[in-house]
Amino acid sequence: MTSFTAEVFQNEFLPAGADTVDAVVTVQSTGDGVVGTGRTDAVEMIVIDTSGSMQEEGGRKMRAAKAATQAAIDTIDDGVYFAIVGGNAGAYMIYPHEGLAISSAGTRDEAKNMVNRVQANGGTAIGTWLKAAGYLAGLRPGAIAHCLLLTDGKNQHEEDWVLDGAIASCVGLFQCDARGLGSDWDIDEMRKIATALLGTVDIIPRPEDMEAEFTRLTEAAMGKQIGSVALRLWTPKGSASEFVKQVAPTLEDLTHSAQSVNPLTNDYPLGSWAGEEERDYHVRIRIPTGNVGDERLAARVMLVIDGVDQPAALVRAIWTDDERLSTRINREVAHYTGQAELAGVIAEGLAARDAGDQATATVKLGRAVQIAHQAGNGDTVRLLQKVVDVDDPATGTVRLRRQVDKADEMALDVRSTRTVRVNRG
Amino acid sequence: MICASCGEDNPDDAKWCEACGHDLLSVLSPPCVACGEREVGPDGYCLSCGHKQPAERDHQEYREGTVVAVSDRGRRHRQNEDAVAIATTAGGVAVLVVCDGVSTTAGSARASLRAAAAARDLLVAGIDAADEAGADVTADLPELLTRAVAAAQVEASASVDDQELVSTSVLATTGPAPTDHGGPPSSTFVAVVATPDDGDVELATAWVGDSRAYWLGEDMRRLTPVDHELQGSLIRWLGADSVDPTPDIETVRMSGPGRLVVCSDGLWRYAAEPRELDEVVRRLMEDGRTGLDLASGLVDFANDAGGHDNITVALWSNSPDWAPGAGDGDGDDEADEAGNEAAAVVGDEADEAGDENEETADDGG
Repeated sequence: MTSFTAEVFQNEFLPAGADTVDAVVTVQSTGDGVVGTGRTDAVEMIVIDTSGSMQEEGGRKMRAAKAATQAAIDTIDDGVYFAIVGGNAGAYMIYPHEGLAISSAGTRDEAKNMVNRVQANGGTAIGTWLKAAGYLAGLRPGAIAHCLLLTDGKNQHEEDWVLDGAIASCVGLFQCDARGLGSDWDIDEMRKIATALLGTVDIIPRPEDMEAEFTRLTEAAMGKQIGSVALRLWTPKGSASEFVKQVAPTLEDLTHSAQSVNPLTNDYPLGSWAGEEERDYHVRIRIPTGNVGDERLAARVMLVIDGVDQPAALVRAIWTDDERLSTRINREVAHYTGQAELAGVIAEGLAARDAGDQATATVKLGRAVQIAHQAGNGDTVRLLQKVVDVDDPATGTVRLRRQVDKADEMALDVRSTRTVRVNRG
Repeated sequence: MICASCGEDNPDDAKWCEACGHDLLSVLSPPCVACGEREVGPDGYCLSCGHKQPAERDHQEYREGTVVAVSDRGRRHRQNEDAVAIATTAGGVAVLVVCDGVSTTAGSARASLRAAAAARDLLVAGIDAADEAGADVTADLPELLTRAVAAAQVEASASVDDQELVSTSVLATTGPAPTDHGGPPSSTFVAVVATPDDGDVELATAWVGDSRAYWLGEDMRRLTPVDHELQGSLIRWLGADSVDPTPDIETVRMSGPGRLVVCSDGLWRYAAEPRELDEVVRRLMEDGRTGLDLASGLVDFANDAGGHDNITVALWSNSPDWAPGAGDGDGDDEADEAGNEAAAVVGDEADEAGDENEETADDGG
């Protein structure tokens, strides 16, 4: 069995007249990853770019992609439905010939053989690839479906609206981890896919890094046995959720994924979960202000696990004229507010740098170094150091580097939404 | 749906009991005190506006014979740790006990409640026994008060074992727990026995800590001339860790009509001198307030001044115009609405003054 708990971190004391309540909600799963009577069907799909560009560099990228896919196939558990899809200007089945195969030693060997025979040529039409995955996932309704999507290029052979439509048609059908190989792909396109499909986005800078990443992602997908978890928020009459964000392990704005349950209650889908996981969410709610001395609920937090809801925690508001209480800073809220600012200044700094505005870029990326240094984002500091020379991390004094590797800049951009958890020690 | 009042089995959609007229919905969910919606969640918050429903002890009003009392959470504290126990004996003697639970120790709400009730019960029993024996009650009062304080000390100390601390909701939430400095529950104590005698009154007072009693009339005085505190900290209190639970006891005879005010520091901090407090009382009386109305007025006065602490006031008067019941069913008073059924005043019959009545905060346990 797996049980879920939620814990609220907030300063519930508000000064007179205040109407904004901030809280960090930590959701934790503990147990073996099984909910209810038993294991749900799982679908694993690997969609690899087989466009002509994969054949460049003497076929090095294609060979690495094949090896990575074969390694990923080896990690698919027995009994899991799976398929390997090739992508170019269209989408085609690499294995099985049609539909989904059931994983066994035999089918995995057949799949690996078919992967060996793939030829790279043609264009890039990622929306079409996603639609193929959506079709396959739809063959096993109710299953926990996961897709690993690899591209090395931009979505050149279809209009943006085709990709957008394809993404929308896949929401709720499967979760997608999107990976870009090298530095010729478009971060915004891949981030759009991962955000909508509740997955992650990242760069794989070199072909030889692919195998480890594919194996890690497929293993992680095998561990996610709880198909559907949602954060359910009741907020009082006259209130509004200003935002609902996942803030750890990565920053994801969930505000617009709200599904109305009733006029006061919304569900925010959190995707599939493993048996031992912890994620943090930052919610900001505006409620009608109360009188000094009043206590009101700003939110009832519930968790919906495979359609069954359970009460979890309360977000409260207590109005006081005691400034010692109302001016207290909640550590969790402050930490994640800082993490959100960090992601924001990195994006702004890189955009300014691209536009040739060196002054703004220096200020923003300097601020990023300062926040990352203070909050303990060691990985982010290292990524920043490939773009700027740091004179003093404490004050955020930096100089822009003249020579920056494109892949390093993309890594900083795409990983800017990775957060560190608040230190609760 | 089974009627909680008479046991009649009603149709599921019935709102009122077909046999006795009882409001069936009220059993399920009383209306929200803030918005009036009949939807209060099991967590104690309104399902519509989110307002926290008052705890039983947040605001309570009592009338026992000629004595009235109001206890209120105030504006700052998250719970009411004050307690009050009052009675009018068969012989017309008024007993007023106020205990102020020390909010820096968890469980003090229980300690104060148990201490006040124990002292009141012992005093009433002792006075009744003396009456029946035809003895002069007033002569025995210092000794009786000493025993009452000892009984209160036993109860306050025993409450250290109460694990039934007042929880604010059924669900786990974080945030500062009631500040607990680690000590066992503790409480202050003040009790006054008022024996009317031919237009005058004999007042016997016992106190431990900084709760006070005042006589306000033609002649006015503090019945508790010293507070047991030093530089803002209590030096005497009741409870398991009390180093000195000894009461001071004083008796005095006051002539003519006046008003007896027994209160926690949540009131007197805003009007400490007898003359200041008398001014507040007189102003309220000029507005036509008497009895419970007057007690509520004093609580409102303290809340308007900031309500920094729990506020408890018990009142009695030997004045001919004293009407203890004034304020009953006064639905337009916000404080009244915030109160709940357990705090409602019992007994409206005019002849009840002759009965022995007792009431204390129902501890709900």
